[in-house]
Amino acid sequence: MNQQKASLKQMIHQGGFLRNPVLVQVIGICPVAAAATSVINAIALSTVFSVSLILCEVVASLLLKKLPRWVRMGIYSIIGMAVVFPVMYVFEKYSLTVFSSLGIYLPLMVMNSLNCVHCEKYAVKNSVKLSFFDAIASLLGYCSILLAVGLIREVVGNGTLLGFDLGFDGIRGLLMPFGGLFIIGLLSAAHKAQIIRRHPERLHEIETKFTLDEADDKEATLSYAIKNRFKKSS
Amino acid sequence: MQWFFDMVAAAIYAVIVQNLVFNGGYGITEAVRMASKPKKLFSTAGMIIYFSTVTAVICRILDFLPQIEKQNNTIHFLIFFGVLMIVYFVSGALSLIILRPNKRFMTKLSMCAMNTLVMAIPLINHRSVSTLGESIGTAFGSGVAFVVASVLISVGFTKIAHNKKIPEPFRGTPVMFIYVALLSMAVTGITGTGVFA
Repeated sequence: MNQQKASLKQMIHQGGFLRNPVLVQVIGICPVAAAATSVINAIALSTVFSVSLILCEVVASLLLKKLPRWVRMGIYSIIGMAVVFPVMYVFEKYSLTVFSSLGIYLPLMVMNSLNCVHCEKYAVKNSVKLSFFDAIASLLGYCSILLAVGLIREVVGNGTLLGFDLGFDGIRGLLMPFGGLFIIGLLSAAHKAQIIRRHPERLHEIETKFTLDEADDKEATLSYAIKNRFKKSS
Repeated sequence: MQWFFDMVAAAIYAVIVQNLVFNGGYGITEAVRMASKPKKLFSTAGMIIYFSTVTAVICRILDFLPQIEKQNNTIHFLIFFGVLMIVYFVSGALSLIILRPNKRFMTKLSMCAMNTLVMAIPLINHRSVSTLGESIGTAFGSGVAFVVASVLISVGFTKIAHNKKIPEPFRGTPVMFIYVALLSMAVTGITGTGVFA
C-alpha cells in the first residue's frame, strides 16, 4: 500500500511537476493558449479533458495493446469524441454562453495531442493501474496550467474574476492566443527557475523531447537539433 | 471561373492574414515540434494539407445537403469528425497497401490527421459559410501557413538558442514560447485587430 502511495506521489511529481505536459513537454498547447480565457472556460475544458484522458488511457491499457499504432491513434480520438459530444450537446442546449465562449475549442479537445502522446508513451506499455496513475499525474499538471492561465487572463486581460467586475480595464491582447502563449512562457520560466533552485541535478530531465516514441529518434530534443544545425551551418 | 478566384483569394488570405497557427493557436504543438526537425517539415505539411483539404471539401459538400444544413453545431461537428475519421482510416489502409510504409511513416500520418488544425478548418468553413472554392483555398492555405509558421519558429529559435544574454530560467522552452507569442502578436497585428484596446 505504501509502495503504491509512493509510486503515485512520484508519478505526480514527475509527470505533473517535473515534466509538466504544457511547460516542459510542449503538448496540448492549443486549448491553453487560445481557449483558456476565463476560469469558467478553464474549468469546463479541464473537466471534459480529464474524463477523456482517463478513459483513453484505461481503454488503451486494457484493450488496445495488440492493435497497430495508427489504428489506436484513431480510436483515442473516437473515445474523446464519445466524451465531448454529450457535453457539447448539453452546453449548446442549456448553457449557450459557455458554448459560445469556448467556440470551436471545445470540440477540438478531441484532437488534443496529450491524449495520443500519453496513451502511446505510457498506457499501451503498462498496466491499467499505472496508466490510471499516469493520467491523474498528467491531468494535475495540465489542468493546473489551464486554470492558472485562465485565471491570469481573466483578471489581467478582462478585469473580472468569475464574471465579477474588478473595477479596471484589462489588457485585451491577453485574451488572444499570443497572450496565452506569453503567459505560458512566463509560467515555464518560473517553473524552470524552481527546478534550478530545488532540483538542479534534474535539470537535464526537463529538456524538451518532441518525438512520440523516444526510442524511434534519439536525436529529437530541441536543443540537440539546434546544436546540430548550428554545427553544420558553421 | 469564379470558384477558382474564390479559392486563390481564400488561400492567400489564409497564408498571409488569417494564419490559423498564430492567430488561432491551431496545430501550434505540431508547428513547434516541426521547428526542431526542419528536414521533416515538408512531408508533415504535405500530409496536413492533404487531410485538411480532403476533409474540408467533403464536409463542405455535405454542408450543402438540406438535411445536414439545418442541423445544429454539435451535430455538424459529429458529422465532420466522422468524415475525418473515414478519410484517415481509408488513407491509412491505402498507404499500407500501396506504399508499404514503415511504422514511423504511419505514426507521422496519424499525428498529422489527429491535429487541431485539420479539424478546425471544416468548422471554420461552416461558421463562415464559405463557398466550395473558398473552403478548398482555406484548407490549402492553412497547410501552407503551417509551413510558414514552422519555418519562422525554427529560424528564430536557432538564433535565440545561442543568445547568452538570456537569463538561465528563460533559456530553452520558455523563450521559445515568448518568441512564438511575439510572432503571433505580429500576425494578429496584420489582421487589424486591436491588441490593447
